[in-house]
Amino acid sequence: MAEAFIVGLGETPHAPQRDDVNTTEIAYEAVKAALADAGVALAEIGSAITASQDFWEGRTISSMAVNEIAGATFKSESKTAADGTLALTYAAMRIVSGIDSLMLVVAHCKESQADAHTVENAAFDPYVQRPLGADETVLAAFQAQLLDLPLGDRARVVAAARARSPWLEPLAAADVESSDPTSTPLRALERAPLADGACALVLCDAATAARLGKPAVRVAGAGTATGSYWSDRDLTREETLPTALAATLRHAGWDDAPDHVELSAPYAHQALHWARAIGAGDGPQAFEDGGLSPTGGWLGGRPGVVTGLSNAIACARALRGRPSGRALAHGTTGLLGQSHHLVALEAAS
Amino acid sequence: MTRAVAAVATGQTDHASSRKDVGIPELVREAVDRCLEPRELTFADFDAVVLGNMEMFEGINMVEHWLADAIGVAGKPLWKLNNGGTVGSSTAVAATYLIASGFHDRVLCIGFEKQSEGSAQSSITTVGDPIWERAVMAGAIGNFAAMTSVYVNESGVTAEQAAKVAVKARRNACLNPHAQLQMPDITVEQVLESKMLAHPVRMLDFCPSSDGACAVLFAAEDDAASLAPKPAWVHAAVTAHDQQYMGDSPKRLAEMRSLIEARKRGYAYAGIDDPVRDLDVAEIYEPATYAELAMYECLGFCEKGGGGRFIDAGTPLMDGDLPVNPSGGVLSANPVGATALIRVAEAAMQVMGEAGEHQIENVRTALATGYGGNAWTDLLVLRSEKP
Repeated sequence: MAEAFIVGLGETPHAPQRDDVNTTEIAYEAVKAALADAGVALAEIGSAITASQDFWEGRTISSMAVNEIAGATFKSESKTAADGTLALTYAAMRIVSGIDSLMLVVAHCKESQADAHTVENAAFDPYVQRPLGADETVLAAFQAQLLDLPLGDRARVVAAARARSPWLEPLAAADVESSDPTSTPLRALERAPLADGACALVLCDAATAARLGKPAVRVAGAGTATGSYWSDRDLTREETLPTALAATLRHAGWDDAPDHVELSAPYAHQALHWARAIGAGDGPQAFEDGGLSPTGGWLGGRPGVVTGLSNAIACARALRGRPSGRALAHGTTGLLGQSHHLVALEAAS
Repeated sequence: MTRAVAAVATGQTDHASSRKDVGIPELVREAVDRCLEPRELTFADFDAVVLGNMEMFEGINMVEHWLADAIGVAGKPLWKLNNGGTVGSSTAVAATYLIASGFHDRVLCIGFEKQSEGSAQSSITTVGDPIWERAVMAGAIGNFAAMTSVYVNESGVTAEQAAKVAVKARRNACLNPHAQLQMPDITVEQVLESKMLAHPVRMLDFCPSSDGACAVLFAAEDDAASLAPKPAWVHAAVTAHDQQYMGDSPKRLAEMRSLIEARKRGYAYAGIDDPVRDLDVAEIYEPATYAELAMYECLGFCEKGGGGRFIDAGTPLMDGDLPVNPSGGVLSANPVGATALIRVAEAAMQVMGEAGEHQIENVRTALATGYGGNAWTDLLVLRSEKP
């Protein structure tokens, strides 16, 4: 069976507001970097999978902004309306199926161009829940109340993410604790800041990887799972992420999860909750030690939709050139992490 | 492909301009139940769902997550694609490769739209580049009218020939219980006298706005035969895009470059040399009558400029050499997120011998296409023989 390898990495700097570029241009920044990294021309790309959310882009079929710069003119492109890890998984499976041999995976979002409250409110049941006016933070606060994790622990998770973020200034846990209250019991700095950015990966089969001769990382496996809608599940029990993890380990043929896990949580209490659910630590220590989300994850300033692919890039950077090693990149989609996606990566000679 | 994939079950709602009797989850569930129950299958019998919908049409962000419990995907993988008119067929393409790779074994594809609860034309206007195109966008009709004018000028097709497509579609639809526009007495004259929407496109030249859903279950070669008496095997599943700015593809219908590219690749995979000879039926995504004439040409059913003569000869009629859209096609129902999956479902039904009154005899090979965005194409070839 064919295998998929990551041979090119491209990522923009993620910033609160990139007024210097439009959607196409910010995605092309990442694509150019990935192509250069792989030593591949855009014309060589056989097909692309993109990730974007129309509501955040304010544009129906939002991949219309990027399919040309993703090399898809007269070729294939498909858009996953989900976190970029799902786009990476679909692309990898196309290569494994044998239909494609050299692909681009692109995730992009300019959150600064959207009204976050409106976009998030539009994700609620339109008949009954939406008129109540809630958004993701209100919902996250419901969950945080139920979980009742100490503010001090939540603040330490944010401080750990900021300390490792390539894009955000460090801050102390005390800064988080004293930031403005948003929705009880949450503070403003407990939520990942909105950001603009894009990521791109060049993915190929074994023969192409050998021809390119670049340091490669093997996509060893992937897994994804969806839970019930937020109002139909117990918000204190995280069952979907362990399901996705088990599927990923099974697909990769791994006995257990590696030490390097890039977790993607938009709120600090979710980072703690999800880490506990997969047995990766009970409390902020694992994040402070650098084993969990060693580059800061979503709380480290990545844009939604892009975060999982950025995590995959962080994993790939850590594995490239090493004789061995494993890492897991995580992404999430839906209110309160209704879906979880994981990609298992291995160092490849 | 590393392992063969087949469509093994299909289900559709009864499409209508407004399904006031159901909410969105109920509408989608109707299609899912109609797909699973005839095969005595339940939610436990699929591994994953790939859902397609144009979420801005109804204005529901991440709508697939809201629907998770209604479609039985809680605890399983849920994929969401969002590619415009092609999205339904894109779910079928994705299912094909997710199964062929071994990642999933059975995938339920779902497409839906409930356009009566939203504003599709307002959303379509946002498809253009926000700086250069959006200010002059005006939904789908004006766009089609502009490209139809070019096609008419280049090919010389007549309004009467286009009207014959409308008549074929709405009469065929009378044999399809799911179709929205069933007009047994429609005539060419009626089409030519119908309200002018945007020259040269008239009301009866254009597809309706619909509420509807479709579900298709795909399975791997290992157990497809146990799920369906006669699976519809996927021999080709390809996608091709045109350039993203409309000004970069000025001929549009007159030279549908993405359809020509998809045809080349798809026919090569499926070993189709002469489509009129090698295909037994085609279910194509024709949003307007003139588009169907142009698609005859781009799909190689006839020579360039010969679309009008192709329908004059009766070749695409139910009793012709290559029946096109025996279901009534998009001209008879267009719930956008489902429309291209309906084409795949109808092609599969023809291969499986389950198309009821609009069944074509002895179908071994069927073509399905999806069309959307700025002239994008999906193309699938389904056969009764395993590849």
